[in-house]
Amino acid sequence: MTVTMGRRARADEFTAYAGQAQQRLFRQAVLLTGEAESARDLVQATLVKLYVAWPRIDTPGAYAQRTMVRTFLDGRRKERREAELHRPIDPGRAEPDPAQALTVRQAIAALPPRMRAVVVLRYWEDLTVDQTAAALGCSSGNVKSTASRGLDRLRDLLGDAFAERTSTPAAEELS
Amino acid sequence: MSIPTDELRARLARELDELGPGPDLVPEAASRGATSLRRRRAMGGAALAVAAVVGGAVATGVLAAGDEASPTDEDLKVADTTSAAPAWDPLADGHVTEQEWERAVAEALSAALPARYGEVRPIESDFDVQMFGTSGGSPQLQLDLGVSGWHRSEHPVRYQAHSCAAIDAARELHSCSDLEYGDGWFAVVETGLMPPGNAGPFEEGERITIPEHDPDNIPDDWSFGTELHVMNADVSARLGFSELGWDELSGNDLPGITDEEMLAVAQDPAFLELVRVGVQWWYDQPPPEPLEIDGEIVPTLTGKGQQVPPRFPS
Repeated sequence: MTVTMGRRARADEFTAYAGQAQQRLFRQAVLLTGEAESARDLVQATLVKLYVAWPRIDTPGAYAQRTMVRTFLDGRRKERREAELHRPIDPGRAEPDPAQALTVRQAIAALPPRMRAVVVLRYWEDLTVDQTAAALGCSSGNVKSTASRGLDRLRDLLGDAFAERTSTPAAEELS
Repeated sequence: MSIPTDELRARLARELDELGPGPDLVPEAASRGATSLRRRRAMGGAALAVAAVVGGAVATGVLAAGDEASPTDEDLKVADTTSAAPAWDPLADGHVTEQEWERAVAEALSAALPARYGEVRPIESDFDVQMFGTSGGSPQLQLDLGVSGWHRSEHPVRYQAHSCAAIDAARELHSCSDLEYGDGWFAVVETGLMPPGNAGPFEEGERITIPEHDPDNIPDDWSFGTELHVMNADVSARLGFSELGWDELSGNDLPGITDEEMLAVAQDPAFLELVRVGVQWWYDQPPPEPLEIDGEIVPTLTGKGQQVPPRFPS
């Protein structure tokens, strides 16, 4: 019953997959955490979990994505618990300065963590509503409403600056 | 105003391009993952009834290799087990197969655990030992069981400390309960940071302070856990309890079963009968591969490796 796999085979397969996937994961992690250093830690934790679970994973991409977003949200919950004692330095949580035009990254970083995760999975990773719901362990309805509110919030944060910089017509628009 | 999502994605891509590539994290992740698996194997070694070197010493016996004996019914001098006798006898032919052992564990633990846990069944796991899970309970339990049959005289270090007082003198515990219940049997239930293998209650060790669980900084070879140890002069069994799905990257949440309930398992005739079967199962197994922990090969022994065959106390 025990799943066993040779140590060398596991390492080789994992290295091959992770080597080609880590940059994509890093980008997603930057969007989730808001900055590169935390993103590095998040990718590292995700890859370690991926390595440990490797023999029983059928779809590494989906597993890594799900693991990363849940690890991120778990970490945010822990941070909240510790907020009374510590105030971690996290530029991603800083309130945006309305006087300055935000980058999209900064605007996404200003979203609440769960809303941020929905927006990243839906509009950066291009997952479907159902895929996003599966990754987050919530209902499709929850994803739809959170995504809609997330885009509303981005619109408020980015304001006219986003529209002015937009030069290509959108294939999909949500308000 | 609307947010065009294609443009949103394109803008993000441009911004992320400016960030440049991230660092190569794969080698470190593979290394940490491998360390994590070694810890699992070290922990699971107990369930393999691996007699890891405890205190740096492996006792050796003096009986001739051919002088073998198997545990017998009359060897079990504990509470009446007749009421728990299984409808089938895994020891009918004097040996225990893996299938028989799994069935015996599932049936005995289903009977011995509190009713809220329902049925116990083997579960898929990437631990290198057989794990079991409960169908009920909140949380459901993940269990691993190891039994071994070293004689006390052969492995004295193993039995140096068998009380909570003795364990606590060696290292700090979250909680501990112990019980003696006749004919030399005693049980220890402990929750805390465990050393690798099944040496937990027995090993002389440096007193440590249990740290806050940090998945990024787990002490090498140690893991937080809840364990029940049942033993007498010749037999020891270790039953590990964790939340179903737990791995060493999980948090330190307690599994939800009380010390009193675990001590009740220790005294349950079904469990003690299982221990008797487990000694033979342990003895019938081929030697496992040596454990490698942080680059060091840790000797491992099953019943095949001991000079004196297992027996139950007279």
